[in-house]
Amino acid sequence: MKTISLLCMVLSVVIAANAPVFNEGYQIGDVVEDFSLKNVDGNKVSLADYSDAKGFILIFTCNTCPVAKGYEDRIIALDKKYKAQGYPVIAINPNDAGVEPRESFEQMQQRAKEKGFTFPYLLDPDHVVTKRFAATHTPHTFLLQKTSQGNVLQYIGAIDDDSRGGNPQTKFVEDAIAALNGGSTPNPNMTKAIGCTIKWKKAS
Amino acid sequence: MKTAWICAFAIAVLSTDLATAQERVPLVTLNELEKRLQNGGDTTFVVNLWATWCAPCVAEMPHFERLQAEYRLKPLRVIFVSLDAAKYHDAVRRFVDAKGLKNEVWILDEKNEQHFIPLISEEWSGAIPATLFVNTSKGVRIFSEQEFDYQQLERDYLAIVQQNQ
Repeated sequence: MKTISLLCMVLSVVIAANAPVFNEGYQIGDVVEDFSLKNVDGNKVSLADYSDAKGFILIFTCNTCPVAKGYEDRIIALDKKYKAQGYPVIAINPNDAGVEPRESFEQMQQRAKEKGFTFPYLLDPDHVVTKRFAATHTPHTFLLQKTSQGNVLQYIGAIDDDSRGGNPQTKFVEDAIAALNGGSTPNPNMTKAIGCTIKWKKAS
Repeated sequence: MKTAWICAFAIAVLSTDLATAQERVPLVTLNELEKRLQNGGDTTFVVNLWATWCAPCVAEMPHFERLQAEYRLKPLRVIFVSLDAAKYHDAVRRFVDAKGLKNEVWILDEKNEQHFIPLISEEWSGAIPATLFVNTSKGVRIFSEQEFDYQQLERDYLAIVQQNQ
């Protein structure tokens, strides 16, 4: 009996190891590691810089994806509304400029200026932070809540329920922050939306 | 008088064109799409999810056209399913005409992403391009959230064809 259970344990470990790695990024409830990424103003930005924040609206977005561009005004509005409440927006561009030249640092600077971004717009060379979050497309949002344990991931997904028409009925991120402010957890805490695949760096 | 006739003729031709385009690029619900796939018997469906605004989607379309052309005598059906929003449906039809796409093109008539994305596949993040391979008689339903070149697309298709029932 002991041998069988041991065998089962070994087997399950082997099976788990061979299972396709599907979503290896942070899960809801995980404490996320801080990062230090270059902003369009040339300065590095970390979560730790925001000592007064209650959390963060972390959005992977880019210069070229029409869905992401369709969200820019709504992202600016989110930052305006929620920075004052302790949830600033931090935008990260997950795309590789080698694959899509319009995603270059210079073009990011230009886009931020044109649109008047009120939040950092960070470069993520080699997709290091993008991979930690297992972001898959732009725009892809991750809501973090600052706790004594660290920054806890509370929501993953869409900003609202209309990625394609721009006429949302349900504002997922706003509802999620309201839930956190009310002492509960977001429901839903994961949503899906149509978006553009991340332009991953080609293997050299 | 003559001008009026020409005008009437032009209107008739134009409206026929529009009607044909709407027939050729119909709106379909997720239910209608699934019904087509489930009733397909031993046909392998390659359902490519795209949008006119998605550059990598547009770039890979010729590979899907080529796959259907190369295997036209086989039970293969490539279907392009557009995820363009309602206000762009005419743009989709113009795109199909301009590109001269030979494959069937459908426009997904679903608004609620929380509903249709997980039903197409639990594995789908919502990113496009993405492609669904379905063969009902073999019980195959494979979802690929990736861009294809022709070799990879053909390899994935043949892997299903060669799979034993």
